[in-house]
Amino acid sequence: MRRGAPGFARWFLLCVSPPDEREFLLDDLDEEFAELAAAEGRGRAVRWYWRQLLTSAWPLALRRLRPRPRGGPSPSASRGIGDDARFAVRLARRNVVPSLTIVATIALGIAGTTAVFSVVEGVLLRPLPIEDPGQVVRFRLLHRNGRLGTSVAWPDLQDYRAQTRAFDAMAGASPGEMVYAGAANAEFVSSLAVEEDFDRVFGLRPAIGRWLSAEELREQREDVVMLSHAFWSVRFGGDSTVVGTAIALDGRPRTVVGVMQPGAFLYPSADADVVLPLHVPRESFRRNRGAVWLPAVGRIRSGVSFEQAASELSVVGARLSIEYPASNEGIHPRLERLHDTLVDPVRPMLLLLSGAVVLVLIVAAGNVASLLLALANARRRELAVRVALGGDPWRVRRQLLIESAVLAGVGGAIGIVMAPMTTRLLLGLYPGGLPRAEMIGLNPIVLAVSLGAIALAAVLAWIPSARRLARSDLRHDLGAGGRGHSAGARELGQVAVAGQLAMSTVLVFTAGVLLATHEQLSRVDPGFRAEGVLTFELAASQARYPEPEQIRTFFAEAVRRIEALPGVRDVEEASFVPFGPCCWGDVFVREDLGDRGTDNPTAQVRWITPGYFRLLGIPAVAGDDSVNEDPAQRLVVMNETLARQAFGDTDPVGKTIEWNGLRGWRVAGVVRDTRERHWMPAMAELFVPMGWRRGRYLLVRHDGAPETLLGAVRETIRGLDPMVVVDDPATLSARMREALAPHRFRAALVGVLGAAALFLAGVGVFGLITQAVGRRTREIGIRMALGASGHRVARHVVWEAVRVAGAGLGVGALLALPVRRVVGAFLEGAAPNDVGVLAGTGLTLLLVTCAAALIPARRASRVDPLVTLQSE
Amino acid sequence: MTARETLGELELYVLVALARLGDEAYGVTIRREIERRARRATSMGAVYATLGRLADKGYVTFHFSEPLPVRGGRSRKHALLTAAGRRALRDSVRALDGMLSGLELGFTSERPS
Repeated sequence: MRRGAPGFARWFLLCVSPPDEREFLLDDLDEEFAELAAAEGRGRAVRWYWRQLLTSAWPLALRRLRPRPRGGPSPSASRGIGDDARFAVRLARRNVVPSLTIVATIALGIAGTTAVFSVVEGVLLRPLPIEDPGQVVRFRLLHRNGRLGTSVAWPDLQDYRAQTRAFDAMAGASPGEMVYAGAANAEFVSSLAVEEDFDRVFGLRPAIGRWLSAEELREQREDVVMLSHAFWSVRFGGDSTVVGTAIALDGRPRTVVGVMQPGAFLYPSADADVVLPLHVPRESFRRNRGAVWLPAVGRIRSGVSFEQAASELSVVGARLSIEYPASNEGIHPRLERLHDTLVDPVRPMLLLLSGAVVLVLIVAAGNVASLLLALANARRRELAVRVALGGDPWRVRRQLLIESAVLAGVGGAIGIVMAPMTTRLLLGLYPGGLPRAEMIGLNPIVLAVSLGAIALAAVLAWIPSARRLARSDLRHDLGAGGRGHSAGARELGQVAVAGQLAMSTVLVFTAGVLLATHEQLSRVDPGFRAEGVLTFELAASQARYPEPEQIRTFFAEAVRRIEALPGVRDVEEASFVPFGPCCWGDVFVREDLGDRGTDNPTAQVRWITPGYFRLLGIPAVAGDDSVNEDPAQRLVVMNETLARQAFGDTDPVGKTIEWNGLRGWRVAGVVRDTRERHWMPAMAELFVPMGWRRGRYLLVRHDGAPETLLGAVRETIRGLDPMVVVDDPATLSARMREALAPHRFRAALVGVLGAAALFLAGVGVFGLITQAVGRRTREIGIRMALGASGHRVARHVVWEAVRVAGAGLGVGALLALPVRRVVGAFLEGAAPNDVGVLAGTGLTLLLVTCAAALIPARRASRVDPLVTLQSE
Repeated sequence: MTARETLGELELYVLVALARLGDEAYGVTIRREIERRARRATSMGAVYATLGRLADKGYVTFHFSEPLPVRGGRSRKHALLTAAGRRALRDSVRALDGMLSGLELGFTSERPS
């Protein structure tokens, strides 16, 4: 028929013409071609054919693209997607259990993904809620020892402001706590003391009243205050007449000049209740450039880049270090974007979390895919018949894709509905709270990513069955037994399950490393006896206790009354508490060596009462530890680390030192090191007499459970002075547990995700082996007919699962190597036994695999050869 | 009747060709009829696309011939005017006649015999 009609042109026309017409169209063309060739020669006919092609292609293509308006019985290509969807729903209702499993798996996967991504989006990706957030920076100071500090010296800051032009606004902002005396009792409120221009850095505007005026800020007035919206709402019930009246803070009346807007962005303390003018307390702080105590923020002028501002600041820093070498030499001011400041500390944790969730999602998609594949296999005859009767394979694939999409859509919708709950759970568990947590929520971006994940899940789950169709051997599938998986499909299933096991290996291994780290850290000996000790802070305010003697009397009476409580064995005081808030470091001078400038030793200075070491069970290693009762005796105690750092091999006992400008203090003794955090080596510590400090921690050793003592302690202190607050109460053991909370959170979270992945992979193994056994029933029957025992058959089946698990484990172990390096950032010096953890992971995976293979293996061992062979 | 879709030029030609060819109308004859009478080069693709459109409008139906009694003989897809197609053709011709009546264009319509 063809008789030389140009092959390519013919093929091209075949492609563009509508499927139900192409045959007739081409035959008609062939007919004319043949006649023309006979009448006028082949060359003309070929040219004619090509002209036909060029002029036909366009109308045919247009015709193909246009949908047909016809309502009658339609050819397959135009049957609506709606029909497919309805069919998919009918199908799902026919296979309730696998369909529900798919929907539940996808729902969980999407809920997890959405929750984690909404956290990542809110915390890491969203810009700060201020104008031009990229221009807002904080100032840092690179010290001589390489430490990057978070505070600057007040006089330096004034010079930065005067000598740079890259900044719109610059302000010191010092966070703190104040005692607010309400109507009934006193409480601590968080305060932020700021300089002029602080409002311009963050674009702050008052909701009521006015902002602190430039004069008030410049004059460092101590009689005005600005309230946060939250504090105003809770304490004053949103009463706007409070503006203009005075409230008592730290015993001093301050006039409320205004209330900030709700959600106003503040730094360094985001949740400050009150904002007031910065008061530089000591004259020395106004002159001393070595006193680095003030956090500072700034806004870079618009149009000036971060790098330009940073380099201008460096120039000023260099100038100051020449001008004031004693204090500023070798010290470099640095800029840091505020967004980085807030987000950098949590970034690794969130990335770990995202990675773990994505791995679980992949494992879940693997299960969904194999379930769908199983459903498609069950229908392979139906599908094969459709293709055999001339159904377009792509049309059948579209049908399968829509089935996958319907299930993924339902599961995804449920997942998105569940996501806010999951997010709340996650935030509730997150230790210490996340920065910017108030920004986390479902928004269009998060929703778009979730929908993307759902689409991805639908497509991923669809691919295996679509490929299955491509390979399907029609004759095989149509065959009577229909016992057919091609070898390819079987391999695909094995690879998928091995992949699931590999992902699970990575997760379980990571969880194991984190768990081992937590275990190791929690077993660290802190160097003191933490059990049975309640600790809390008391502050004697300037207003109520102006004289040193009054302070001493107040604390002495408090200690006396608490000691009288039942079960209390000992009460001591200290300026700090181990595993509590950090500390106050200072430089001191060995008087035998004289002042050596920057080479002077530094130490954490701890003010304590004499029984402190006895209460905590810290032994003296040299000299005497209990002699520093009276400051007039000028006795100090060191820990081993400080003795080693400051005195080396010489015995420090009896030597004299100068600290905080006080001369002639003698070292009475050396005590054993204690830890400040599980993972930190002991710091150099200098213990000095308590004297008349206003703020002190009380340590109470109790015979029973110390936490039960708290009510009585509060009652006692209220009886002594109702305006004094029992602040930051916790047992020492609880503080130690609290310090490990981030480790526990990480280990628990990755552990839960790892368990989920392992469970899903187990289901995958179960499905794979069940299918394999079903497929090989006849073979097993023959084996048993030939004398194989049920045991042997079961072992054979389990062995197949173990082979797949071995492959998964191998790949997983390789993947775990780079992951281990990432996780290294969280270990804080702990060195878990990686090989042991990996071995444990492998064992766990093998156990799960065997458990999952056991049920199908038992079924295989009970195959009755007679029944099986007869049914063939 | 006024609501009826207007016919495109090629659609009109195809309808006329169908009316002339009667039982003999299929791709090859339709294409030749248009080329011969309208003196317009027409592609087979355009003919098929137009037939498809006319079928969508309900002016044309198809039937398939018995395979030709030769070696490898094939079946042809014949097109037939429906009653609606005939009406549409009549309306179009009348409309054209109405537009042309009494008009002197300075050229005569050439009627091939």
